[in-house]
Amino acid sequence: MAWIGSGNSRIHGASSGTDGDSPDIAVAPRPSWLLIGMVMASTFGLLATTNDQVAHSYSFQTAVDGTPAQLSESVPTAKFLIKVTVKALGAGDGDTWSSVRLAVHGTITRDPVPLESGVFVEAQLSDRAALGMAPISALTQFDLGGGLSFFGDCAHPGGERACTAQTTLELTRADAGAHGGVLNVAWNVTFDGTVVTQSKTEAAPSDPPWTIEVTPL
Amino acid sequence: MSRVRWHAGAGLLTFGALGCFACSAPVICRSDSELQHGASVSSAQLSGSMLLSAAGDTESFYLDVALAGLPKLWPSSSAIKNADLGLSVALAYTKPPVGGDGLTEMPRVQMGFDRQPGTTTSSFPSIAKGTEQQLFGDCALGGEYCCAFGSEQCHGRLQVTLQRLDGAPFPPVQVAWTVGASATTDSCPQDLGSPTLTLTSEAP
Repeated sequence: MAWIGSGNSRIHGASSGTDGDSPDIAVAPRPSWLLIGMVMASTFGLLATTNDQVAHSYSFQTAVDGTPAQLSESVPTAKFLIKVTVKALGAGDGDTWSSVRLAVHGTITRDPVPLESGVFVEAQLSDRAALGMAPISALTQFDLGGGLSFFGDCAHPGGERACTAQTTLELTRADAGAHGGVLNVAWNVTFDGTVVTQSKTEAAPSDPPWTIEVTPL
Repeated sequence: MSRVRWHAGAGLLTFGALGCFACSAPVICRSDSELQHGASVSSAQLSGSMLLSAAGDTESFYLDVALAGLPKLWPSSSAIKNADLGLSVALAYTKPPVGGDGLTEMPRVQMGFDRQPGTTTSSFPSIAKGTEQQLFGDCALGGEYCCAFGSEQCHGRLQVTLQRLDGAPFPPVQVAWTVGASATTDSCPQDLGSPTLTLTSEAP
């Protein structure tokens, strides 16, 4: 706005007759180099400011294999704790914890339980508050999933109050082992997340700055 | 003289009015009014069930669909706006867990008409899965189960096939099927017919 005011004052000055080359009628004055410089500086400044306000986002996915479970007559149930700890802010100082989903995929094989017996495995995920999702009854494979909630001082990961999320996977033979043999359950867990940052990152990192632990309970 | 003129004027007026009535246009079915004159008709629903125990187990049956009471004079487009046959199946184990709740793994079952591959149920079925077959299209355009233009009734015979795709370790599964037909006919002018749709099943 300041440069517009400067231009006006110059036109007024010209019409007052202080300059001998001035025309008799009001015409647009030639822009001075100073004026052009100010306009360019203002434009670049505006662009720079706008760039800072653009939000960038990137997605990440990471997976770990779980400990295989053998469900038998003597041990018909297995339980695992899946714990994620955020160690640092993500690329571009984005948070990697606010928008995360996990998916557990499992496959079931029998040895030497007869295939005809049709022994189901019940699989269930429970979060930190022990709120369980509905259990799945599977014979060959299953998929479980849901959102992952983090607790702690997640704005300052790596601090005194760790930013963590945990969920429990429980696998149970529906026959409590009555048909004998062993049901082998191989499983893995995949985490999908989205990070939103104010600063652009050169390349989206494939792995978030996390520690993922799977512990049999 | 003025009395004569008055009578002549009244006569012309009456003649003109009668002429207007005689010339008024007959009832026509414009494209926008046809939509409002569509009559929907549905058949009674048929249902049944079968036990499929192993991979490849297949059951089939025939369905006869008849659409009658179509108008003798068809609109230029068609007297049948739409007709289809809907088939849905629901799966259940014979002992707990019964399944069919979206949380229990079950063998996949494929359903189709006339041995053509159709829809397949999911591994964790939650609701009845269905498939559709269009019926009674214009024979001039080709296609199966068509209806010749101008027919007062149309008939179609379809074979329904249900096949279990997955075997052990899945237990035997009861497949309950439901089938029904529906049609929408052009009923403009409205007194040109009252269609009926019947559906019967027959073992192969």
